[in-house]
Amino acid sequence: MSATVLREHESAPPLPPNPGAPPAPARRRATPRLLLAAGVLAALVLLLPLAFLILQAAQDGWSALHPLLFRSLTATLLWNTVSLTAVVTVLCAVIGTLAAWCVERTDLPGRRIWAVLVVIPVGIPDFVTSFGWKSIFPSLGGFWGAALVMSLAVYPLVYLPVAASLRSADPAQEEVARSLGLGRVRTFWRVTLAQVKVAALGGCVLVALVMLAEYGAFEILGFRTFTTEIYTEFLTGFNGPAACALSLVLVVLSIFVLTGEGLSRGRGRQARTGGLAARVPRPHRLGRSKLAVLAGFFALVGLALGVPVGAIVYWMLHGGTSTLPSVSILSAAWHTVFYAAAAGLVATLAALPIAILSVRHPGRMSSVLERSTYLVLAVPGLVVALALTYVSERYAAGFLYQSTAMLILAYAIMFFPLALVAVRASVAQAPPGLEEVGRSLGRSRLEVLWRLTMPLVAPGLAAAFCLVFLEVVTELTATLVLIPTGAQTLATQFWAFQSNISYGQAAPYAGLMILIAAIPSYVLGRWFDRLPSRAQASA
Amino acid sequence: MTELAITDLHKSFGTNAVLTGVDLTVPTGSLTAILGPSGSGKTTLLRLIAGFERIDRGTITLGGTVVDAPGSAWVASERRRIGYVPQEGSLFPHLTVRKNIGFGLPRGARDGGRVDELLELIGMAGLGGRYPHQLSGGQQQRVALVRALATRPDLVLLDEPFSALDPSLRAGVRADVRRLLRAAGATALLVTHDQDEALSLADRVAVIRYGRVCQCDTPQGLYDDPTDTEVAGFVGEANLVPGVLVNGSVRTAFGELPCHCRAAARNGASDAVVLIRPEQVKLCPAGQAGLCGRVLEREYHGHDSVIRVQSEEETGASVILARISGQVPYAVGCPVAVTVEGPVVAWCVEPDGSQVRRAP
Repeated sequence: MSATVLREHESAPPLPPNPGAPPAPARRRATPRLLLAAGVLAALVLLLPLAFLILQAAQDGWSALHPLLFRSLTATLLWNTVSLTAVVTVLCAVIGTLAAWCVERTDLPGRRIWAVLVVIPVGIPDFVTSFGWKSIFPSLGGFWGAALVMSLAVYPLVYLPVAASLRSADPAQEEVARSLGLGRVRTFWRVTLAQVKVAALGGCVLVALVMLAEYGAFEILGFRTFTTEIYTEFLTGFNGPAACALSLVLVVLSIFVLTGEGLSRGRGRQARTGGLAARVPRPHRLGRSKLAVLAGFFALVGLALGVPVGAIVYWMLHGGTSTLPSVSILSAAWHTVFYAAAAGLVATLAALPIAILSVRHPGRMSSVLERSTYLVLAVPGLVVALALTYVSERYAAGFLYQSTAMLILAYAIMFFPLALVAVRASVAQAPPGLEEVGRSLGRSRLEVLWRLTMPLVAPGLAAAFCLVFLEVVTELTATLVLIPTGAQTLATQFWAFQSNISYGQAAPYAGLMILIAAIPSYVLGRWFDRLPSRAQASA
Repeated sequence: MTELAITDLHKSFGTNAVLTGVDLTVPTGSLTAILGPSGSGKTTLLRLIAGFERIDRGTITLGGTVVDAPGSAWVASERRRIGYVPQEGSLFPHLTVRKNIGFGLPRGARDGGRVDELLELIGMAGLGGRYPHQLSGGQQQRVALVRALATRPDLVLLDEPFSALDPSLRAGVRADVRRLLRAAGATALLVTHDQDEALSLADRVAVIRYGRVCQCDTPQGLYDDPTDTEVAGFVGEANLVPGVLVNGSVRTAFGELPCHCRAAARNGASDAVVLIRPEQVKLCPAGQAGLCGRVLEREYHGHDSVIRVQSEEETGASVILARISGQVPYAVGCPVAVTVEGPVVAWCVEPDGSQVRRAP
């Protein structure tokens, strides 16, 4: 859950103004052509799936789309998807915000441990969480089953940005409110919630996008949404036009969610003078409610972390037999790591030109380029995979279909926005002013690049790589569609076993997947702690 | 000897002409300040000298070598033998203080005595292993300065080096910077919008306005003999009153005052604008000789006080500013007599009444 880190960074305190950066617009330099060409190329490839969907719809024409869109199935799916998304988003907002507030602002015992435990579920893929629940409670399913499991799987997407914004928010605002005669409860409503509103909304948007794109968890829980239906139409019904029509609705829903967030962000800013809040706020005393809150945390961590991890451990210990051909877990792990590393590399390199353009050559062109790439967020992985498959079938006679290259391309497209956020931040770490100082000290362009720019930018590039790596390791849906014949990743092999109810065989794959994903998560955490804004705050 | 010579320099960004014909020379070993309001092109001028931008017209000569002349010469930044200290210091965030200072030195010398010597010079001998974010603003600025000095550059460029500092720190760092520059025997060019800083720090001050250098002089020369009323108002507080030039002196509401400088009258009388600095204004108890006025406001500064006096006679300037040291015996509302001492500067008023220039 990718996006976690993306948002956490966005709600982090703003970076200090670039030291030595020229007071921009007046002395803007000419944009290098090559860079621009690379940026445009990257953006075009990214928008390929979306463009294909629109093109396809236009080609089929309204008369073909109409019966596919206006049938009772669409209405059912729309209702299922929207109502579940709404319920889970609200639940996550409440759980995430309350948990963040308790951990960051109260005297809850064991705050440091809770802060870690509450976040870990974000590293467990949603389909593994639902596998855990389903394998222990086989009767679980339907609307409320899906709502329960998904809320427990994705609430950290709200928790993380809200906790970050509480850490950076100015505690003096609450004190001022109290001094103006507001009670504790009204202060919470009118000041604290206002401080975290933007972060919480950002988290909610992520939750909604994840809900719209999720496939595996719903398949396991037997709950029909757009994604499960598109998958069925496409892979079992071989009904291309129907899959496309449903994808279109799904993308429109996602775009709706994204623009809704943009509008809510428009008004109001958290203005704070005098740099970062250096003072640690005095924690609120929980008093008599301490026991109840503590019980709540035990329940939350038990359900969100204990159940899936417990299930994996249980099935690993109990084993079991399977009629499926066994694939070496090492071979699956190798494929997983190879695809993830390749996709991380491609996405990071592709993000570089757009990041450099937007940081060093701000202007209308570069901002259009940068924003257009965020549209990818609205295209679920399954739709990206379908679009690429169709493009290959229709316009390239099956060229590259189910090839390693196409799978890596799909990953790179899906997770490009994540890479861009990290690469952009890293490019901003090396403002041109520093290079100018370096050259004025008598060092050549090349030497400055090697001794200044590279060391400053490299950690961020590594972070971008890790983000994409982490996402690819736990990706299931697009992988199922595009994986080359004969190859298996940890996720697809896990999926094959669990579909066959061979839980004992499936469990080790889930466990290894989580272990591999944990390494880049750790690296990422370190990187975000080292960003200068944080470093200065702790200095 | 001249370290830096700029002739007829032009620079525009798009349609925005920032510098239009700058001429400036900086003598070797001097500290010259470029003083101008924000947006006057000071920083641009510095960046052109450093070689971060190219000029549109004119020439820049460093130590006898033309380094920038469109069409005929260009020397890259790293070969100009300059030191550059940007506004925020811009220390390299991933390097320690030692490595920052040693950045420009050849590989073998980066850990050597030169760095120790410089650390000693700024009183940070024990702090070489720290990272920039672990330093205070003043320390960062000192490190940025010695980093620029480490390679013994011919010319050091400082871009508002004190503006990012706390006012309380500024005076100390300023004195240190001057001491360091003197110790290094460096020629320096400093950009600032703070007239106090320019006057107190520099040997010479160039006032830049509307894209040109409109006056370049010693601080004293600039203060006592500004080229026009605008410069007069920019480098300190000024009372500007009308007068009439008569035979080497000027007749004002304060009586006939000796005219400092070359303000000789032309044939016959001529209308003039007269500059009276607040410290030339004297206040006496009412009833004595002088212009009648009433104390409007007083600002106590410790070392002196600034008094605003409402004139009760026709002077052409209804409020007179006076700077008085020591005790001020006059309360607000108290009537006083105002006199003016010493030579003043006067400019003739052109016949059309609008243009003002220095008396011939």
